[in-house]
Amino acid sequence: MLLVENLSVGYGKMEVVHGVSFSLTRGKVLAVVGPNGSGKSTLLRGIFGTASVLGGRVMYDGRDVTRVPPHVKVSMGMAYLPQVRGVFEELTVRENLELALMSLPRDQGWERVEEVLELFPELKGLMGRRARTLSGGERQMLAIAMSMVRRPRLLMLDEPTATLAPKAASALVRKILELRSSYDLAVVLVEQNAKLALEVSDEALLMVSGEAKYLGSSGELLSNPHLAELYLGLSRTR
Amino acid sequence: MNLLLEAISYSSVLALASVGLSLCIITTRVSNFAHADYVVVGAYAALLFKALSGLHPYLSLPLAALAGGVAALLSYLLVFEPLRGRSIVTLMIASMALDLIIRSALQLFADHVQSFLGIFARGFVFRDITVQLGGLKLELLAVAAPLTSLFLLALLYFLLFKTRIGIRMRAVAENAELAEVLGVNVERTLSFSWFVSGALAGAAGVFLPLRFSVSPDSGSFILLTLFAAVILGGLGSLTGTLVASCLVGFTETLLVYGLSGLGVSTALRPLFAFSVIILTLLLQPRGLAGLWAAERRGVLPWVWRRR
Amino acid sequence: MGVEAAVVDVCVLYAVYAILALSMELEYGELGLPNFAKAAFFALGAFSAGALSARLGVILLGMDWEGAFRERSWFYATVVTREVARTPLLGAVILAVVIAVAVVAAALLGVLASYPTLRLREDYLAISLIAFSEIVRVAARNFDAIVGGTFGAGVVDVFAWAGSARYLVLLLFALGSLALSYTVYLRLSTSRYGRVLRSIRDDELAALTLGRDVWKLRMKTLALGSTLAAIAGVVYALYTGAVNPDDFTVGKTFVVVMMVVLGGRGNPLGPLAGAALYILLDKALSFAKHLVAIPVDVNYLSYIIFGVSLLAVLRWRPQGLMPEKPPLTLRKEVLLSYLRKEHARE
Repeated sequence: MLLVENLSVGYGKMEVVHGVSFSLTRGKVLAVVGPNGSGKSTLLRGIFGTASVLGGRVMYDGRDVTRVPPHVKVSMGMAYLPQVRGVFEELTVRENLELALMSLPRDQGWERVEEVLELFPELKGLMGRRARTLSGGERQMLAIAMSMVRRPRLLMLDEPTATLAPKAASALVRKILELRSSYDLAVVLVEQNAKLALEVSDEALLMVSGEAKYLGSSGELLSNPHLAELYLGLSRTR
Repeated sequence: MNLLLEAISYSSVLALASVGLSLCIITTRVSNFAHADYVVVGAYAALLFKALSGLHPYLSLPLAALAGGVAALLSYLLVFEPLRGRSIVTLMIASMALDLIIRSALQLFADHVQSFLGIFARGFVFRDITVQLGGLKLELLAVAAPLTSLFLLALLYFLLFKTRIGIRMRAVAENAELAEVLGVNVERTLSFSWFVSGALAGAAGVFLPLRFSVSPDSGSFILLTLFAAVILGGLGSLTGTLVASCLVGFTETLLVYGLSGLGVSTALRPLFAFSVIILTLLLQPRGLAGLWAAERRGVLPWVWRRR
Repeated sequence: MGVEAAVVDVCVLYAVYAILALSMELEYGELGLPNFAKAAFFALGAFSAGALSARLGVILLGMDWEGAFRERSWFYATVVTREVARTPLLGAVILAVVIAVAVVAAALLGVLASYPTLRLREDYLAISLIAFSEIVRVAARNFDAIVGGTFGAGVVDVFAWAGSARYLVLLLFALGSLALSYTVYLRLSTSRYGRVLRSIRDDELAALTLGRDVWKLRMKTLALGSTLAAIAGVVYALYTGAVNPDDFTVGKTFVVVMMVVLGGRGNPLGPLAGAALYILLDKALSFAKHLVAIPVDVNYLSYIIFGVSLLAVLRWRPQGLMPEKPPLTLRKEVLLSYLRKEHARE
């Protein structure tokens, strides 16, 4: 469903990601891990269109979408959650969801939101609250809920657990897996917390200094002590 | 009595224009030095209306608002949108160039209006209507200006907080990139924001000639006071700007009156706005809004947040 | 008179604007934004000449000043000028004092202005600088004792002793000031310290740790920039023979900003090119006024043209007219190593 071929991404003329390739089908979770500054976020931005693609291409459902602008990709079923600040803090939870609804054709009314709220019961009681007043975990839930309103088929998350305490982080990850199962989503999960990401994902992409060092099953990466320790700081003793 | 009238009408003009300016700053981070010119554009639209239709300028309000809105919209589309992403300084310099262009264009316009319509287009004033209320003779401006301002600002409030476009405007103002990610057409939303702020300024332009003599250069007199209101009110806060503009309007009028009584030249009037700006930035840079908002994600003037 | 005088005229004016542009570019590099109070420092130099030259002359000649400054400055300026024609020393002393006062006052004011620069966001800093500039102008406009308010003040022609060659002497003085300014500008903008600090200017953490040094360099830059502007002001006052507060509006500062943007920021010759470009355009437009009869006021049209040009440059060629050049110190090294290689080859 998503095919990334030899993609190079950068800012202006500076190339940060060098020739990365991978493919992803529906229902699968791909974890993108690697040390700080390895270009994980940039890769996502390149796929989505908020960073310059300097080479290679992105195929979505067989179509070349490399140069397609972000808001069009959104209507094609791609959802992207940027690192931090995925909600509007000055707007209420209700308004945030309303906003997410706006990009849909007119007849998709509030029922969509109601649908999503079934998956995120925590948000039901917070509708009138300004997003600013929510906890980190609640905010991330809201961010994901907002992207789910459009029933995406591909969900790309950039370090969603970054600001969360371990308990909230695992709750969030569990929620993502729930969504994956309920909607047969394809998920690309960029994570600093490699262990967590690798434990829940099917496939893994290890990036170091903008290059792909490993692409394959997550389980194998986790159990490969050499790679795991060298790049991910995972100690030998589990 | 006359003094109160002057203070009220001046504050109303300031309120409309500075809230508009605040809106621009909040949505696009541009300190638009051409903003006061939209007020003058509105004034000239009113003048043209009066000259061509013979009706009282009060009725030209929609036209003036439209003129101001269009001027602001064109400014955004032709100048600021193409320069999006550039440094604050570049945008500011661009707005100064724009100010020069608009003022000069207004000068040329005034020349033409004078020769083709035979009316005074420089230093012109409108004559007000006097009404009888009870036993009191009142200039209509004293009622019309504040009422219209309040009405328009209430309309703005309704627009921002009770409509879908308002949600979009506020979302784009906070985080344009995120809005784009969620499928909002940022350019269209910003165009609309700018049109609205220009329309508010244009509307204010109808009241200006009823009290002050208006020329193409009049913008420069108001501009610094507008900035004073925005800065005093607290950047990122529309309510703050509203309150501040009333404060500034009243104080400035009273001060000028008092000083002229003491024999000090009224040419020192601009000094007041300047002082307000400098004092606010040095002493309480978050403005009035900083007093009542505990932790606001406002647009701070400090480059480095120390606390 | 004719062509020769016109050429000298333009050259002196060019020198004035070039100095202003250089000082502006210097500050733009350090502060990250143009010094929008430039007109005030420019005014300071001119005001020194206007306020002091006649008064000083009168004192030195042992005369008594009768009457208010506003009415009599022109009269006394003429009187002193006549004396200067006979005694060059008088002119030299007046000039020296005026320059000294201008430089010191500007430096002090420049240092003062450096205080808020560190903490305010650029556009609000700009607004405060503009506000400050206007305060200076309005104050001078309303307090007649300074430079005669709206009436203006007469300036002593300190080069009167040169007789018919005095415009040339003024030109020499102007060009000399320009050369001095250019040297100062080059040294400060290519100093290694300056470059290092500028490269970390936007790095918050680094700037915090080097806080004091950043501040010191800024203060130094602003003081120097202000001084240069004041010198330009003195030259300008001598050139026009008069000083009027309304000459030093924010519009004037904006013209200098325009020169800097048009001329280009990546090249030391940028400000010089920008000043030349502006004066060329200005003169060309006023010349065209005589040639073509258009139904619109040319002045306003020229403002529109300038405004649009500036916007066009910002949009399509933000680096300005002159192409970017690497810092001079590097070029010198490259050049030297090249020469050494050539020498070794022989």
